[in-house]
Amino acid sequence: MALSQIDEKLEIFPAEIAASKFLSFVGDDVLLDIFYRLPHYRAVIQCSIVCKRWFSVINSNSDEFFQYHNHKGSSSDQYSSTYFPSCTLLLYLTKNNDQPLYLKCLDTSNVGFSTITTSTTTFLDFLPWPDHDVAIRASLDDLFLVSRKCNPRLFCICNPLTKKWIALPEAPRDRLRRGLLRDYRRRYRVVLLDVRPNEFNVVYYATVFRSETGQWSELTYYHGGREPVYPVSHKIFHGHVDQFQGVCTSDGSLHWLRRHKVLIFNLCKARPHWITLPENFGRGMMRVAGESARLGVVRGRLRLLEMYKWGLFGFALKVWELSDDNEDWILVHDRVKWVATMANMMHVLAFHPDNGDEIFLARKFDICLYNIREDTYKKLGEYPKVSDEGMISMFLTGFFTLVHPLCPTSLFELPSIQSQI
Amino acid sequence: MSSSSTTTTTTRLLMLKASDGVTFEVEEAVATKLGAINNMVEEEGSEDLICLPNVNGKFLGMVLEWCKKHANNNTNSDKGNDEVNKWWDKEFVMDLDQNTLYHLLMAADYLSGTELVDLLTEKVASMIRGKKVEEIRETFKIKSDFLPGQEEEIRKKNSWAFE
Repeated sequence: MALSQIDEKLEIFPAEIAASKFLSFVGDDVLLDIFYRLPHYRAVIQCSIVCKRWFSVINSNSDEFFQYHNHKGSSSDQYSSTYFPSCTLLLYLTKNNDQPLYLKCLDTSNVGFSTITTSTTTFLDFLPWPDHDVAIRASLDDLFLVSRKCNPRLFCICNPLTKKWIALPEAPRDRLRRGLLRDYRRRYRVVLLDVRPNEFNVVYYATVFRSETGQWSELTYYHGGREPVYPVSHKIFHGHVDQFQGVCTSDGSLHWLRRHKVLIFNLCKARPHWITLPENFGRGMMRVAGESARLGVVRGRLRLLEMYKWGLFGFALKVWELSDDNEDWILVHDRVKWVATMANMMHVLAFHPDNGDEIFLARKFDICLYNIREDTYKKLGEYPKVSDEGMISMFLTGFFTLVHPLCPTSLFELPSIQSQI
Repeated sequence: MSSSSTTTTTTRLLMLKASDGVTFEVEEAVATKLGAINNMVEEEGSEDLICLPNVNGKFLGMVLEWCKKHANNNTNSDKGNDEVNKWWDKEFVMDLDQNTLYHLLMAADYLSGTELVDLLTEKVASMIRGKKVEEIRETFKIKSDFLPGQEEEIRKKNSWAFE
């Protein structure tokens, strides 16, 4: 349409409706150009309900938008702060065989963490299994790996935001360590791993699901050389540092914390391998109740944390990050802190997946966001109040952080088998 | 004595005539910042008067102002140029009223002034960013023309985006 014609039409209308006239005359390509400049796919989708024109322009190009924002998300600035519009901390408590209890708080960037909402109606209620039968095993960005309690070999990968899920074929067996992994080519693996040292070597048993084949396979790896044998007292003095929930870094490796090393499962390497922990890890004195070690991922990079009681009224907190060449641990935070009381009531829940200075702490019944650098607490909520009797049967079964990318992660499809997605 | 440098070529002047008869005399290097004019110059060669019946003089003037600034700054080899240009662009779009913004955008699009289109679409996008649907409608004076229930249906279908 010629501009002069538009000018004429615009002049007929008062200035305040000229805008909407413009937006109906402007070409699709200009309108598209505007939408492409929105920060993420979610914002584009939100624009689609402004009016019919916008809807049709966005809807007929939705695949391109999705690809574009997906691509944008996977580029090198993936872990810039604008990459995460939000992240969620989920605590998951079970009380005998009753309904599990979920404590959930959402951090939408700029706004900070909302206070915790508690609910028994899980936000996993879209799954085909009854609530009390669902156990969360691992998380990867905005995805959960869940399995059934009545049959832990039945796994499902789901996205709680889009409420999409995919049920995997029954696994040949379940194992102690579980993890969900995705590489840069969007291939998924569910890895179940056991480690059994024997007299002569260390044996790794892995049961692995591949998204390309849609099938499970069982692998056994032998590592020569014996593991040091730790006496029972080791656990008393050094704490129980095994962590069974695998964490996935941006290079597509899964990691589990185990005694004095970190186990790594990587798609590129033929076999699982490990790296030793930092030299001064686990040197804390008076390591008694209240200490904890945690492996996690911050902005796609592997971090290790230990916290232990220091003196009578304090705690020490150290955080390391694994260097680029996967060989050195770099000490990021080293803090000794005196607190009036209850140092031994504190324990670490999780890393903030986006802010390297912040961690989630439980302080008696409070759940806090603790800024290590600034030494400030922000109370997010409390554990549910239960009677002492109830407390005994109440277990904190898991805590997970979900990171919500700019557009929700879409699930793969099982080859040749019709999934319900 | 050696001959003096001949690197300074005589700048050719073009006449641009807007829809309302207003004419602008600009250097070729400035006008060819606009893809459409660049094409005309290359294809038609010697023609010095270019009629632009689709662009109003007021907005053509503004487009050329932008071209001039960017053509001039491009000839300087100053490192801080990018910064200067950015700052100037920021000022340029800062106080535009919506009506002018849209006319400029249409003119820039018509004249294939790619960089200027980028600048202006970015401005429009910045008016959308961070706003709720109702606020976007308010900003752009758009009335929802969905049939009853249609909007809810789209919301429901993409509920993750509206939580």
